[in-house]
Amino acid sequence: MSQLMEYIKIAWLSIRNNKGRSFLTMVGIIIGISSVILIVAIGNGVKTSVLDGINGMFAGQLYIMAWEENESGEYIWFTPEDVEAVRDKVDNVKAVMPVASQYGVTANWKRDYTTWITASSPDYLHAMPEPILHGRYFSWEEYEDGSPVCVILEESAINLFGSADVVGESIEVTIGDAVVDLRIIGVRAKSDNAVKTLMYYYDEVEIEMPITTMDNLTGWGMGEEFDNFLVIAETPEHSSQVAQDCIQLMEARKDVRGQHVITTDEFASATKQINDIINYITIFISLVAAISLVVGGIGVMNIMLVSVTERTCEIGIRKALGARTGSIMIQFLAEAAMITLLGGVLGMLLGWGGAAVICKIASLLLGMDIVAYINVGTVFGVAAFSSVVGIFFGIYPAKKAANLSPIEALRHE
Amino acid sequence: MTQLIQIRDMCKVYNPGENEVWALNHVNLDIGENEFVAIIGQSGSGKSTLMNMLGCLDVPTAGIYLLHGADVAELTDDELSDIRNKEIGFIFQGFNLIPNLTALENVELPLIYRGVAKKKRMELAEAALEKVGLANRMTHKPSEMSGGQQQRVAIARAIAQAPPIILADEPTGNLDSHSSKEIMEILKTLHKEGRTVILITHDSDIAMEAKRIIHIKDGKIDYDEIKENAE
Repeated sequence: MSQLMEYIKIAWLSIRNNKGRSFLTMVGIIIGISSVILIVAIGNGVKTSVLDGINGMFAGQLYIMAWEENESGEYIWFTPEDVEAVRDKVDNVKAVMPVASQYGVTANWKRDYTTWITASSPDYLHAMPEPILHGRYFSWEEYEDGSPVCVILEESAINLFGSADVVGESIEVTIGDAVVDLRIIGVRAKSDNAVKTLMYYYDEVEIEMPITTMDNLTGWGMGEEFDNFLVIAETPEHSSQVAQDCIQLMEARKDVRGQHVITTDEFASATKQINDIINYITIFISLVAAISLVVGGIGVMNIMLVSVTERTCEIGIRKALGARTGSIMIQFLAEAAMITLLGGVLGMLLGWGGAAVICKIASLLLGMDIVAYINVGTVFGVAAFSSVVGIFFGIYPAKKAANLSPIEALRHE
Repeated sequence: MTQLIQIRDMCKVYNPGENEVWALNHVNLDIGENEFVAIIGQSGSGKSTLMNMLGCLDVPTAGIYLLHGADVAELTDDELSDIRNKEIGFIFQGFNLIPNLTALENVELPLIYRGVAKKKRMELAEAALEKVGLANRMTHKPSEMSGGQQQRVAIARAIAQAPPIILADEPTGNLDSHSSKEIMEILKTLHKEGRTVILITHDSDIAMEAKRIIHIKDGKIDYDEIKENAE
């Protein structure tokens, strides 16, 4: 073991004595490793920040859907009673509600505004992370009565009135054939979620209202029979269990057990997709980088061959002094491995630094908080891998050095 | 006197077949412990080949080389390395120091290959350098020293591990007369201390320092003289 340390020291001395050349040899490895680390670190940062953003928007949310015909070729419709059953019988449910969305038009004395109407129950308060800025959400009483009230988004209020504090104002909204004056009872705050700001398209006016009010106006009955409803679990961890329980309950209530016609669209599966996409990109870039590592490795082999030729005399001296074949072999392998390991470490620093800078710039541009990071496993993995590259490409030159005959080597000047 | 080295019918043939060169042609030679032998001959006489054989740097084409009674021809490369490491201290004409190592590190080399622990190694290497009068040059690199000093480092390297045989190949060949004298004095001291010193040279003045002179010519021992009254 102490012998090995000596050979490593010898190898290190040789690298130090050829700083310029050793560095140039490392460049290939540095480029390969730094590009992998760059992509992995940025990927990790983006992944974390996007997933955090999405989780902030939709954590714990799941839809229970009945979009397929059952055995007898009929469609299944959920009712408010089904929603109440979920509320009563399924554990860890924070909120459950039917949701209907519809485009409409809001008109004021200036012009018409495209309006996105979300109609649901008072539980919909929990479906959005943004708090109520002014006023209040509509109550169960207003829901039962089908009162003409609405909650408006902060941006929409500013679009319509030039101010966010619009509680008590009325807006004239056309939904289908009906035209109604809705009283604004609350204002929902603007989102501070950068991912949502980036991804979500805001209509000119967006309002939330009781689904009963919409049904009263239009006669659509969207709150009486619906083919899906939204469930919000207490925590994201509960969502799988909640989804399963809801499906079981609904299958029992609709008598469609074993027909697989009631399904869920758990939000977790969407986050998995994003994970997958980023992982695929990482793997692809890593493959490209692997090619540059092979090229770098061949560079190392080339320079080691030159080094062996240059140091033939030194090898002869060492052999004359009693170095065994294995000692010379280890010396040169250690040298190759150290060059690539050093290249790997420099590559990691460079890649991580580059990723940090890029993420910083992206954060400023996008208004998100993206922090580049690589985990410890990756660091050790890369270090081990770059050493292995050196050892692999060092074998041929090291063998060549070790097998030199001492007299031939000594004669070489 | 025990026979340290016994050579019987040793031949070394280069280019076997066509253009054969018999560098050694049936050489017989015995060297005992604590001898001071000079092997002298013109260039091309075969003395360097003999030195390679004696130093276990090469193996003969035919014949027997017994070192401490063991047949060297039977040994593997690694076993030969071990013999060179333990039994033989080399001193070369061209010094053969490793340029990017300090004097001390150069002297340490054979001890590293022998597996001597760092502390002990430093002690041995420092003692050897002191012995050749270079206690104040330990951290110098070969390029920062004169030829004579470099050769003294090489001698320190050869004796650091106290091998029974010192094999010096034209040790003064690249040196001025003053340095040559110094080197020869050191070799004589080593002999007095009980080591076998084998000196290979083409210079009869240098050879005269030895007690026994073996003349080589055309790959054969021409004659073998022992000087009774040499010191």
